[in-house]
Amino acid sequence: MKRFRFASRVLTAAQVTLVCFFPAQVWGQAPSASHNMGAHPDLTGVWNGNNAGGPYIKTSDPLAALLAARDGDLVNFERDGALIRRSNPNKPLYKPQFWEKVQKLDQNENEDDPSYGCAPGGVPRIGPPAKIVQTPTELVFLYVSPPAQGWGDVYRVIPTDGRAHTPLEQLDGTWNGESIGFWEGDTLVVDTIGFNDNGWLDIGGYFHSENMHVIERIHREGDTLTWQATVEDPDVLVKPWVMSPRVQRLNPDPKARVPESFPCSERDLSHLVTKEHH
Amino acid sequence: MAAIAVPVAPAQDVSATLKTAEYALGMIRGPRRIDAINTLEYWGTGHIYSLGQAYRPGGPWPPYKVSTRVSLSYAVPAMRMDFTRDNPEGLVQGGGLGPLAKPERQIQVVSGTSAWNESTPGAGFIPGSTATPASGAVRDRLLQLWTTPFGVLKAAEQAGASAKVTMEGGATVITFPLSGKLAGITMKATLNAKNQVEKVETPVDDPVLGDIVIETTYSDYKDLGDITSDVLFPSHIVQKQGGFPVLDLTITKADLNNPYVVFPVPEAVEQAPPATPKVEAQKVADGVWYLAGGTHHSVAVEFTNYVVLVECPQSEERALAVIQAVKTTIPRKPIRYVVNTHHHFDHSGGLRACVAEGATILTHADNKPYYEKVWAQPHTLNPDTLAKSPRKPVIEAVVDKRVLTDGKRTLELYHLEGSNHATTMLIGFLPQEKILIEADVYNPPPVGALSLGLVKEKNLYENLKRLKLDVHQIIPLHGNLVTIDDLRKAIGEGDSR
Repeated sequence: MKRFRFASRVLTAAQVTLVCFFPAQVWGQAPSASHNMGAHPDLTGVWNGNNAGGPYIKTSDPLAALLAARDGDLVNFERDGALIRRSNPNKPLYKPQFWEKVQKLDQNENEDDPSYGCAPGGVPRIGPPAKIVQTPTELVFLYVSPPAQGWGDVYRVIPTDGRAHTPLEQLDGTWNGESIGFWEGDTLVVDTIGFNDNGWLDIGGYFHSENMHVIERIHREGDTLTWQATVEDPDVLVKPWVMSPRVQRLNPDPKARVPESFPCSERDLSHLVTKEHH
Repeated sequence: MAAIAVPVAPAQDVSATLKTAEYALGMIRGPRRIDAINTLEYWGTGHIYSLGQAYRPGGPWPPYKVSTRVSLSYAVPAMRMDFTRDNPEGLVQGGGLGPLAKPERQIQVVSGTSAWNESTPGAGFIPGSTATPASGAVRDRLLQLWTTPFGVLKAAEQAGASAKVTMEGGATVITFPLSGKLAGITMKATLNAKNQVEKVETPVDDPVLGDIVIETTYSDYKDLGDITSDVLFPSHIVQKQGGFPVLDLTITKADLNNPYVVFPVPEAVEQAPPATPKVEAQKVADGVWYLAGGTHHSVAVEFTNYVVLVECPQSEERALAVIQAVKTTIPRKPIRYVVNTHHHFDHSGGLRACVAEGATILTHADNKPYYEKVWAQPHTLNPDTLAKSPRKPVIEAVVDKRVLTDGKRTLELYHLEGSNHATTMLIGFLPQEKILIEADVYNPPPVGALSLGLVKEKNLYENLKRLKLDVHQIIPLHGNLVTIDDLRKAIGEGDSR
């Protein structure tokens, strides 16, 4: 079984200390608890102050008329957004036998993307948390779903007490997996295994297996939080995928709340008339 | 008559011209107005033509039916050209490894500074697959990538202040230098009335023709994707080199929505040493040396006071290595004659180096005026030895037969009649040694595939019978040493003698 193959690489608590000095990106190595001591940065806060915005849509763009396919109307949020998001050159490197599968999933995203049917986003697709509550022995991550995704309100409780992972074969695969946390210097490392194989890593048909291993790194620099995940999935990937980092800013309002996610409204696929991406 | 180039815009207008063209193709998107094109794929059918493989000297390149799928990424930069050639109409006159006995698939990849050929997409990462390094093809393949309509505009953006805009014949023309691996090449793009890239011209060096222009024309732009993207791509692509088409493609589909395409470099390709010409001299008989070691071989025949070299193939680089091998193997004797088996560029690309060496070229009579014409063309883009130290080529024409002898050894040259490979084909025969030297008309497997209907091999055999040549050994200029019995077996024939 696939899960059994990965389980052989996931270490028990007794073995953890033997590998504590190896980087977590190495295939199948479990995190170390030995760095989880002493003072660490406080990550507590609401991290939703990232609406940096930008030069937004100008309706009077003199070049708009040159976009021939659009009769001079430059604004098409969804069509442009789909194109721009897919232009990111940072792509997971799948084994060649899966290249066509990824393309087909991407082409049929409206039907195949689990998020489009109100399924959870899952780790690592849900990205950085909107709020972190930190205690000496655990962290609580609270998430707010982007309006377009409908992932609902999600939470994760991540122990940082030095425990090791539950043996993989004893875990029921889930969307968010089983996470444990530890510190590498000032960086929080969240190590997660025990996934189902229903989720995607991102748009684009980036599926994964249930043997996926995700290492998230969260680093605070002043009021800025940088989150970056590395995906190891030797069943389907040629090499680990280091996702593009995402930066969150601390909400300076001491009374800031985490808003409630919009409810998911399941799309009626039978009424879709194109495969246009969203 | 050449159009007069009139600068119409100061340098600062280059950016506006490029932006206009990028909008016209749908490249600039979103509220931040960014270039949103990175990856794309297109599928097409049409004809591919084998450059330098004309049936007659000076004639058009021979056509093959082709279906192709091209995947590319401008960010890497990388390109995978997966195409299948065939000649469903039957015999193709000329070279290019035809006439093909069955459809032939080739997958050519370039990624960054590496190039290789795949047995299947992703070869090198799939057990049992083969990724063959092709480091010599990096420049050509990158040039194809940056010649695509989006590639041209991106490359022009990269050129910055070095890009210039002019008007020629009422059309906007952007001229700019390429960089990196393509440094030294200047690209010229002409826009149509809708500001779409209509023509791209790139001067390049050809070992035989000298300075030539690769001319690519794009027409009938459409959004060709299954998923509407508002990105336009030409539905017809024609590319010419040396004055004749090398590609005529009708695009049947394009995925312009930044599809998932990747180009990992296999370890074997990354670690491959740089390709340098390797020449291995193998003695076949007294005074007869097989100069192999690559894909195109030569034969050195020692006479009392000089050496006859059969074939100066491929390029100046290969030819110089062969010349050096002759000097090492047969010291203190000049190469007086070089026999050119036929005019195809892979067999004549090193001739200019042999001319520079002072050799007299023996070739079919129909090749003489052709070589005299094309060798007079300028070689300014990549000057070879002959361009640097010009000398008048000495070419002696062979019509039906020519005999070289010093009284002790004899080399006979014959015209191969009725070959569908080339009208100018010569074969060599050493009567005392009973050795035949031939190129392209019998490439013994497994190195080469036999031709459709065995037309080339059977024609060779018919000529041997016509000429009553008592052949025992065959030295093919592709492949390995074989005997006349191998040829007979290949074509299912009995005794020819």
